[in-house]
Amino acid sequence: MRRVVALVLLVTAVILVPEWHLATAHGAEIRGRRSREAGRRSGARPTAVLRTVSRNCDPASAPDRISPSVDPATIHLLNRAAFGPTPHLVWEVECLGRDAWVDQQLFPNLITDPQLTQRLSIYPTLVMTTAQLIENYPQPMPGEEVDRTKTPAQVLAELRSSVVLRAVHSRKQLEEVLVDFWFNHFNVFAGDGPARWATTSYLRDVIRPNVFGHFEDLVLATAESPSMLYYLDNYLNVRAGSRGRNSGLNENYARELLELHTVGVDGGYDQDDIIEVAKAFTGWTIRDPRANDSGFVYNQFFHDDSADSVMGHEIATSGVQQGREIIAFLSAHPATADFIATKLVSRLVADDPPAHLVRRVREVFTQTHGDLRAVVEIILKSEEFYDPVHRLAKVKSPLEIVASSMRAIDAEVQLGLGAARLVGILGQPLLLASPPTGWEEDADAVTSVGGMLTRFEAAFRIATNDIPGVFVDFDRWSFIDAGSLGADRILVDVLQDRAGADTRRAMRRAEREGASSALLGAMALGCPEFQLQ
Amino acid sequence: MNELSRRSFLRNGLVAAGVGFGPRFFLRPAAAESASVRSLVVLFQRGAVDGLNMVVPYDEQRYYDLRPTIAIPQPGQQNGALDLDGRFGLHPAMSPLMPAFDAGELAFVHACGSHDPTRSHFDGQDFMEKGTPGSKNGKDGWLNRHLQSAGPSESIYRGVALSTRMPLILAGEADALAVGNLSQLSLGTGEVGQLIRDTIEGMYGDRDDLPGAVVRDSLEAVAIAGNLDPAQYVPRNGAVYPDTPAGNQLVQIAQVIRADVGMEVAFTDLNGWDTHSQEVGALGVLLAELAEATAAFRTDLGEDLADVCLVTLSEFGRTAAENGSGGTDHGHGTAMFALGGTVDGGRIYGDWPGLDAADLYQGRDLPVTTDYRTFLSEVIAGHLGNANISEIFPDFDFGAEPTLGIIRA
Repeated sequence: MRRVVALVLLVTAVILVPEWHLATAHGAEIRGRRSREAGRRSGARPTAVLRTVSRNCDPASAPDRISPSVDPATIHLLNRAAFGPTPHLVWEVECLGRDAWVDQQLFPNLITDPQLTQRLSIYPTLVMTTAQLIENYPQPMPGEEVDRTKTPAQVLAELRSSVVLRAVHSRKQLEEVLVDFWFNHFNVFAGDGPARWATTSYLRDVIRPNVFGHFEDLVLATAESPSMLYYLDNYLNVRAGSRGRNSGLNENYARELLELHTVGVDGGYDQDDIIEVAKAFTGWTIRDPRANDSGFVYNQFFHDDSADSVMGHEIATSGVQQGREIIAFLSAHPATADFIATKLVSRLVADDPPAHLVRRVREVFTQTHGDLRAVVEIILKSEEFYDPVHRLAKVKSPLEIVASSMRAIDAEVQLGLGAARLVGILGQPLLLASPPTGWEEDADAVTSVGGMLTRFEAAFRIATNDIPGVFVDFDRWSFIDAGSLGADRILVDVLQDRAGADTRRAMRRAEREGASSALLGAMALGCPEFQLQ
Repeated sequence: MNELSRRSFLRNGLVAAGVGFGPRFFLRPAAAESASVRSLVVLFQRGAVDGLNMVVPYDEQRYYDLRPTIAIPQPGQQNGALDLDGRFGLHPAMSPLMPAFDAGELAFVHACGSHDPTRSHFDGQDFMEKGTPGSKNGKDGWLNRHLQSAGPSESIYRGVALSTRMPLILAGEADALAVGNLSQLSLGTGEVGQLIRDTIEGMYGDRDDLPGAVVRDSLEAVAIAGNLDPAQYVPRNGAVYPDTPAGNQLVQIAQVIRADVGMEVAFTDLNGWDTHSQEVGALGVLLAELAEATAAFRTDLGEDLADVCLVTLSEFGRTAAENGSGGTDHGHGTAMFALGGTVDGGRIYGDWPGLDAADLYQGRDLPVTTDYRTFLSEVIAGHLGNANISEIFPDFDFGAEPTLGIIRA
């Protein structure tokens, strides 16, 4: 039996069968690395069988409010695989079916989003190469009077703006969720030195194209990125004495490659393994991006070829191949499958991830050689994912609370920087986590006294149009100010049927005491049910 | 501001202005006759500080052999160490702390740390904060266990973390609050503020989940303190805090201490100590920030320093030898310090193991000759007066360890 996947573009429904579905449907037929590479050479797009079916998905029938009787499973899916529901998206998912919507999201390259392209077009740096950014946004000399919109700070500001703007408005919601996840997994700090120019490309060319690719390719792309080479110092990691009398190994990247990127801290390596890995990556360095498209260069002269084994694996290659061999070995290591499965299930399902699901995800990761699309699909279509115990059971991260707030009240983000700064005020400045772990996202990490009070303040600022560049239209709630009952209506708009009795009672009381629609809207964004997903 | 942002929060013309989350003066008057509460401030240098360049063994030629490009020169030379005791010198960027050392209020413990062999920042920090090296079990920190065993307190401010998240070190059963900035401790003023507080209490008051518990703490913290607004705070004795992360955090801790709201422990952390490359510049900046902020804290507290002890921790030290890029990689032992009126200062504590190849841990790092829990136990017992060390550090036999005597009897 072939599994079919529905892809609906507005009125027309398209059904496709991706290549990897065929393979996994025949359980024993496991594709190896070789066939995967052959497939890649034939083109990056999935092989798909397309046919059209008619569906009653006329966008004209899309309501401008979410019905209180919407299936809670749909809201749950959009809380986890997207940055929260919007009326249009709920309509789309209900019309398509949840699994079919997931299938559509798994192939973001087939989703067109001209509106987002239009929104992002105000940020010219987003499409520039690192070389162009260095050229056009140079570091000012000390004391030099400069146009502030032509400095590296502008590059970072535009990039941070785009992150929020995409989270709120992109149609490729799952891609945005996973870009957030994988950037954080392969964290770099965007705020210093050459990182201010390089992170644009890192997010666009290294992370984003690989979030539905193979894990090994993602690791390799990060290893070769100027951003990672700079952030974890590998650009300085050289054979002893090759760059002057005191030059030599730098262990920083080697350690984090093992501990944070692949096998995890309990993956079974020791200090000797770190040194072997560090040796293997000597010579992986950065060249001025203006002289070299990618900025990555392997310099044989600085390479120490003496590494011979890592975690029991005999290194068979030499030169630049050693690093690649180690990445392939680590990517296929069972500890990596376990580490990645646990982390992804924690993000998408529960802080305390259900062991059954982690086990299945680990198996799929192993069988598909780290096919991240297959892995995400398994999670988002699993019974465990939809288990009602997981509904409203994870605390939203700062980015999630800001983006979902704006989506819930149909805010229009025209300029993203104000919203990006709000994420920072809530404790996790976008792209600026300094430790290589990135931002933690479990409930303990995002719930504190100061943090909750700041959430309330953020809710009030959003609801009073006090975030620069963000516009909230209160007209739809203006009848409330005219004196009609509104607390329930606002709660339905923001939370559908998910508000508990205490929240309803408190909101009704506030309304009786004269709270305006803006204040009630803020309270809805600040209520406990909205902090959860 | 656009038209909508001036919209009133209340209908029927009750209040015309916005919600006013702005600063408020500290509401509760300081208790006139409260017994002085001794307090402990813990400052964590995340990333593993290079103890050998912070407290420099300038008397050892091996130090200079191991670090040909990053060693701190001997006292008297250009950018040389500041002599402490004829053997060790302080990094020159830390000169603002020399008066405290000379006054006997500042002491260092060298070759200090955790005996656990990990060189992972994240394991190392977790182990150090939990106070149980090597164990991944347990979810509470030693600072919280101190509060648990120190006896009851009514104050929500008894444990304060200047942090956007509750750090592991202060997580646990005892009340504590984490706040990135004291200015967050506000929910608006006047009629609107009251309405907001009532609504939040109604929404969160009976929830048994984490947000419920945290919001109840938040409301309590706001109710007791009003808004501890750093912008309104005037340091005493001419103290000037630098506008750096360290300065901004220590000024707030000083403010909580002076507000007399029952603070027993405070925690803050500084990032950036992971100096894998170009250490000379980077470490100098960090140490200068730390020293300037700590010196301002001491000046500001003045006589109150008699009841305060500030200690530093870091998950481990760095390699004895410099690496191939003018930095140091992850190591083992490091140096920590204690500052306060009860500290028997002006001295370097701990057994100095030396830096000969045979003396180094695994042939590469400064060994640990003083378990960091010995250092902390003396502070907890001697300064805070809590003798329940076995509850705070369960796998640690304090009585069997050699003593430092870092707190005055």
